[in-house]
Amino acid sequence: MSLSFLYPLAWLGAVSVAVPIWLHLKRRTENNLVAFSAMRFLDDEPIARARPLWPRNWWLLLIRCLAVLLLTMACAWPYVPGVHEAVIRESRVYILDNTLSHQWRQGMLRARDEIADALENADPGMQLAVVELTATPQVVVPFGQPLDQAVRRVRELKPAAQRGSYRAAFRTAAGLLEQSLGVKRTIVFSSDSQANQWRDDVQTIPFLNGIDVRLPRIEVTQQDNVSIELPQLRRFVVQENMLIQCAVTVRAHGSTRPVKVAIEANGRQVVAQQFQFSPGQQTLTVLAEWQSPADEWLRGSVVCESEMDELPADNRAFFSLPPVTEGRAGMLVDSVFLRTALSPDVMRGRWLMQPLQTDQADDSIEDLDAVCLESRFLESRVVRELVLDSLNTGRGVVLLVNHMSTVVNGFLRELGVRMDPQATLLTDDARFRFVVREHPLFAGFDADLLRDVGSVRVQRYFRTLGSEGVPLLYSKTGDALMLDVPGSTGRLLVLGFAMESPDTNWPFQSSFVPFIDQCLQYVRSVVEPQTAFTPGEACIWTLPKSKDVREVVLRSAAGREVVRAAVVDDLARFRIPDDPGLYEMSYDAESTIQHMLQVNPPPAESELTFVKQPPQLDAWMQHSVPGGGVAAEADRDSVLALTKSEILEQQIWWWLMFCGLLALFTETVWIALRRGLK
Amino acid sequence: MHSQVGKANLLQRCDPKSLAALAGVGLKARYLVEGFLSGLHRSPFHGVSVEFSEYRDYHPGDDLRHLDWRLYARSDRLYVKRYTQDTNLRTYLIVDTSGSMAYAGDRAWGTKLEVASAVAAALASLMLRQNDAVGLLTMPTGDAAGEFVQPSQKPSQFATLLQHFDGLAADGGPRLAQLLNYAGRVMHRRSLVVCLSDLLEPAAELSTAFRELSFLGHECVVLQVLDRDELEFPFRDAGVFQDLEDGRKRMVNPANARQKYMQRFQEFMAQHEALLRTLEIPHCVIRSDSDPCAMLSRFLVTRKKRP
Repeated sequence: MSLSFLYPLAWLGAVSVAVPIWLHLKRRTENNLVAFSAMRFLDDEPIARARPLWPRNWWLLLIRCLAVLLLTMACAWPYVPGVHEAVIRESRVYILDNTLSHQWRQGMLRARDEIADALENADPGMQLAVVELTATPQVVVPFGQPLDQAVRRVRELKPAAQRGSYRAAFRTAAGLLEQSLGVKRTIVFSSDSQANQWRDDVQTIPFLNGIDVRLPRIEVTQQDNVSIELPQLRRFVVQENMLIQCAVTVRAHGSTRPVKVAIEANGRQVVAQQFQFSPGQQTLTVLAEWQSPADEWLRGSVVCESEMDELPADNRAFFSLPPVTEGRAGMLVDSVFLRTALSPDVMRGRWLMQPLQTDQADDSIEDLDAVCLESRFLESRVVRELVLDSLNTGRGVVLLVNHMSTVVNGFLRELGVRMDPQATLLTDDARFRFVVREHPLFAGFDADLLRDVGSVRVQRYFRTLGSEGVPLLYSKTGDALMLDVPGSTGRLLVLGFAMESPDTNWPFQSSFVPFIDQCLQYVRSVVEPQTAFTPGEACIWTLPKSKDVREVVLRSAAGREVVRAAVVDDLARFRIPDDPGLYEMSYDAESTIQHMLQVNPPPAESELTFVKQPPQLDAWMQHSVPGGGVAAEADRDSVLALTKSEILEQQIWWWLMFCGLLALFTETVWIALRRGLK
Repeated sequence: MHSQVGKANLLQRCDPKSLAALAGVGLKARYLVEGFLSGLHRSPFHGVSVEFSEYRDYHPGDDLRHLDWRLYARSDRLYVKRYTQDTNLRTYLIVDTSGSMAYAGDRAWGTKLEVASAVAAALASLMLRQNDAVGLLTMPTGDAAGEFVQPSQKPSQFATLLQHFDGLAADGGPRLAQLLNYAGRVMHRRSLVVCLSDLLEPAAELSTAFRELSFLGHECVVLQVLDRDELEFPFRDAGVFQDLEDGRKRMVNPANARQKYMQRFQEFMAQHEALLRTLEIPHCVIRSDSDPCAMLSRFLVTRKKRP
């Protein structure tokens, strides 16, 4: 029977055996030492060393030494392999890569079956565990699980479209091996060894100490693939029509071939067209536009097909758009054109305008999303406070400067805009010199609208002398006519001209109403939560404090409930479903769709480039241990990695403790009896 | 009857346990003196320094205080009284501080050095009460010159002596003979030399030193301080015995060694007693476990009866 110790260093405590011996001898000497004065009358008598009590003291000494030795052994955590236990020669952890890229040529299924076969044919001297590499690596089969159960669990695994961290999986496997019994420790990495995965995990402290790593055999380092990235969609109003603009990026990895792109929205195919990549071109952007009702959810998907496509799982991307929510805006304008543009007939379904009071504070402004006013109303203190209050509470303000006075100018300075109090007049060509088309305000304008904006003339305006804002429109003379002013919670747009006929001809242009609408939409303080996720991703969903929600429910497109998460402190923590698709989010028992989550394959998984021998793995290995596994093997001879609970289950530990304490008790009683007899 | 009462008081007041409990030589000495005086009414040292010797004719310049006016009234002649000694008695206390004096048995009320110091201090107090001058001679370890306190009869002398007694420490090898030789060099007038020691030194060396002192005209008294363990050797358990003077150890089985020890010790005592008897030096053994007052009184009464 072999005996090993978990903490052999504790044997240094055996040195303390010398302590009772020393005390024993020292006490004996001290007890019998007599300092005497008349030594001249005494002779030396060596015979006196042989004392009658000496053998009895030897027993006492032996008991003391035995107590120390037994307690030292117990502190060293002894472990005796049982009779029925097999000697563990090797502990092995399989990492099964179940990321999207590993679905290439059924790689995951083949690896899964290989691991299951290995488990079935496992040697009794081997300890096996399986870690599934997903978004969050998880231990599918821990050490010590019965083999039939382990095989069944492995065979139940299905390919997933997630992306997980190689490093996290290796750390999980190393953590398992830390608690393993095997003399040799091995990690078998069943993966496609995707190149960009290794690149993501370069910076780390070495953590693979004395562990051998078996990498997969990579025969092909790159494969052709076509994938679709998350489509970008937005609603847009042109005249009376509510349009959907969609931008789809098709990415080609490796050689390129013609690709067929099909867009389906609300059960209707809106685009089905074949595109050709130019030589050297890797990405292709498909723009589509179609009409869609504003009051219903938009849900659809984009599918691409190509001949050179090794990974069909990433050829589909899902998208959704919420229905348009009618906004509420306050209005303080004299311009007839503005009042017309903001009238319910024009803005129905998009904006509900509310005329504001200038002489007294209005409590109803708390429900407003934005305020549109002319600078003439800033003469009123109530209006100035209304503007400041709106900006500080996150509401947007669209300010048209049609009037300038000392009060107005001072207030504009307070907002961070310095303007010339004198109006500037242009007689000749008064069209815009430059329009910032990249700004979200104009990004939705198509070519016709932009052309229309280019024909707008502004003859009278107030020149901007300096501002912290971003100019969006420039006059013919280079003056900034429109500013996007930051610095407050709400957004502020300042136009240096009035929408009146002598000042500008914009109200007569077709882009006037869309421009006003876009201005209000831009300053509207609506922060849409992130709804695009990848499969298996951990999600922390923040709910508005105004809503009393206890649970968040996710349902698939088929209406099946897939997630139900409790809300704690306005936060719901759940895991995004493994399958790509659209998932409806609702609160508690309500059936109203609050949000639509778009779960699409991670784009990085589409890059089918593989490495045979990743250099990053060397950085993870402990190079301070020469020979890696060999050194570890030597260590394992003396130290068995067991948990304390496992050791405490062994009776030898308890017997050692019991005998040690018994010896101490015996010694104490013995000494007490001797003293009593004396 | 009176002596019976005095003895009872003496035994009652000089309890060795009380002596052991008292801290410091000064307290012990005062305790001893008080106990001693309650048992004796006359000092044995009185009379030596005030003995009338003769008359002589007055010469101009003589101190008029010494004129015998009564004789002048009767004979109408001037005579001056002369005494055997002009000054009071000078006493030197010699305290042995060899390492063996550090021994204290289980029943002793102090180490032998503490006993010697207390007895010496008590004697000094007695001397000073009758206006005798008292000095001190000791020899600390490594100090070849010894420690010498000039005799004085001032009342503050007792405090000076107590300071020295408190500073004494028993250490090192035998040095009584050396100390006696040193005393012979520093004492220029005839004096009383009270030697307090255990005399655990070769008798031959001590003999030479005492003879030299006697030759110089000093009167010597030996108070030998011994412990009960030295006198009776009551040890039973075998063990390691360590010499207090040189630190050497030897294994001793008392059961076997006791007889030889007692024989050697008695020979040693007999040798010293013979020597001191030959030199007419009074000798008294003071046991550190017994009442020193009783021993002192016996010794001093014996001395007083001397011619």
